[in-house]
Amino acid sequence: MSASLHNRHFLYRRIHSLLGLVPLGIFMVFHLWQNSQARLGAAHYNALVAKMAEINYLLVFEATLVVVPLLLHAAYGLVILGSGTAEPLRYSYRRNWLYWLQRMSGIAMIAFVALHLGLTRIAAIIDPSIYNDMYSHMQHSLSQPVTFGVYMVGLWLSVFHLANGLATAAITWGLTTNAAAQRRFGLLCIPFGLVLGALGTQGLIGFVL
Amino acid sequence: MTEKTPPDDELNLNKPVAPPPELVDHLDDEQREPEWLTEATERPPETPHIDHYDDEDDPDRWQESEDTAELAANEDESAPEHPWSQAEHDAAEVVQLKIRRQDDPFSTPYWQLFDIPSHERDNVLSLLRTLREHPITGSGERVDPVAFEHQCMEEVCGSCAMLINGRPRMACSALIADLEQPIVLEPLPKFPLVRDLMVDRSRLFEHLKRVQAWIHVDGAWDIHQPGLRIAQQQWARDYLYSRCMHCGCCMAACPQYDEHLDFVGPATLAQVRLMNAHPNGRATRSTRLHAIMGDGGLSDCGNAQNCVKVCPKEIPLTTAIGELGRATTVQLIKDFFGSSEP
Repeated sequence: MSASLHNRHFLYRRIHSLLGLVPLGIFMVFHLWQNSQARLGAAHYNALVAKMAEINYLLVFEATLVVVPLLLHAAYGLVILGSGTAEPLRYSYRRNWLYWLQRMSGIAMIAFVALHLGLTRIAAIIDPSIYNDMYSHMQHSLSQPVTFGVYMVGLWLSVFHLANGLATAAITWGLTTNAAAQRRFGLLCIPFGLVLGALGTQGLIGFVL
Repeated sequence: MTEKTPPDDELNLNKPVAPPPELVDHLDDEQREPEWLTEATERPPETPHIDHYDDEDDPDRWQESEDTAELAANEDESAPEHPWSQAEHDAAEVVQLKIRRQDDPFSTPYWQLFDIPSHERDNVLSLLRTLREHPITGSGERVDPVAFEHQCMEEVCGSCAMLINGRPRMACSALIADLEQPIVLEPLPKFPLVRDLMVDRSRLFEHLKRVQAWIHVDGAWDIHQPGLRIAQQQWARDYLYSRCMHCGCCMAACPQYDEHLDFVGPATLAQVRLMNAHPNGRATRSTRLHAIMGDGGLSDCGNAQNCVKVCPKEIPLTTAIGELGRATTVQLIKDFFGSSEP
């Protein structure tokens, strides 16, 4: 009867898509918006970090809304990556390049997020005093040109992954049905990505200037 | 007022309705405009068709070169370099074909070059037919004829799909004049190879069976009822999908489709879209939706959208996939929360 509930394949794919959009996509927008406040100076930024740390059940929220969805999305993303042979050079259509880039940016994001966590959360486990002055800590690590470059590339690849993921999720869920609608919605995702990327860039520059 | 007023366009059921333009994917300029958009306005002037086999009766043909007969007479003594008569060889442009050959599914593939005289308006398939008569390589070696499939010669049967200069397309509609030389021919990828340019596409039928791409008849006897009506507008949309000839081009170009993977591919999904739209097919639509909500179904699509770009029949495959995305989302909600419908 309800094959869709008994066959996990379809559900897994849809959950993968939903996790990428709802908890992770919203978190990324929030995270980049919040860090764009780095330009307002150390006092403002550190006060913000302290305020965030006071949220009731913060660890539960972090685990259920970020860590678990991230692990599931990344793990199942790697499973999807195993099936599929992109040939962007043979079929050099726009959507095919985006298909290839979505997969490449996904791999890059796993490395980038791991590095990002290592430089912030894991570093803070080793040295808890980092939380007292997060601004200086970020300023210190981003003042190294290599780290800054990696962050910038990681940021824009992540923003691409979300913006393009939004466009393809609209097709997957059937929000956009015909080719013209898919094109229109895809074009709308470009300014979304550009604004989000600009917000993130502002945050990164805010730490070093 | 005895004069009949012509019926309103919307109500005239006899008037064919062109599908709405938003259904037709023309994302980039290199794709051809669909016929119904260009037919009335900018159709290129017809060039007169020159049938080069007709001039056998033309007396000039034989008077033209007496050495043709001489060549034919000498054929037994000295084997000619070219199997085609010198006159014909001179008259035609020589086209080089580079063909990827493989003697059986298990042997290693190899390349062979062929120089074939070509005439105006020749296509890849007509050259392959010419080659079959004299399978002699560019270096003069007589080889086994190249195996290939073809039937209709007019892009409706779907049997001559192959990689032509690296792109999956129909050999019968690939005009030599439009192709870069040497023309590289390879078998259609992602299907089990039989021999040379011949692949086994029987899994296409298996895919159709998997998704139940058929309509149940409304009775095995006369039920004294006309068939259910379909609005012209819907008919025009559905017709686009009914043109599928199961050539496999979309599957060859799909990054998510492969011989060892479960995915049924874009063509089969589009048939689910077609059958579910039919008034009789609608009764069993959830069965078909559930079939594509399983392994190898709709969710294996990665939205690379190569399918719609290479489809020789310009079927709006990505629209079908988008529509099925919505249908399966609704079906998922029905499955989860329950529904009065089957």
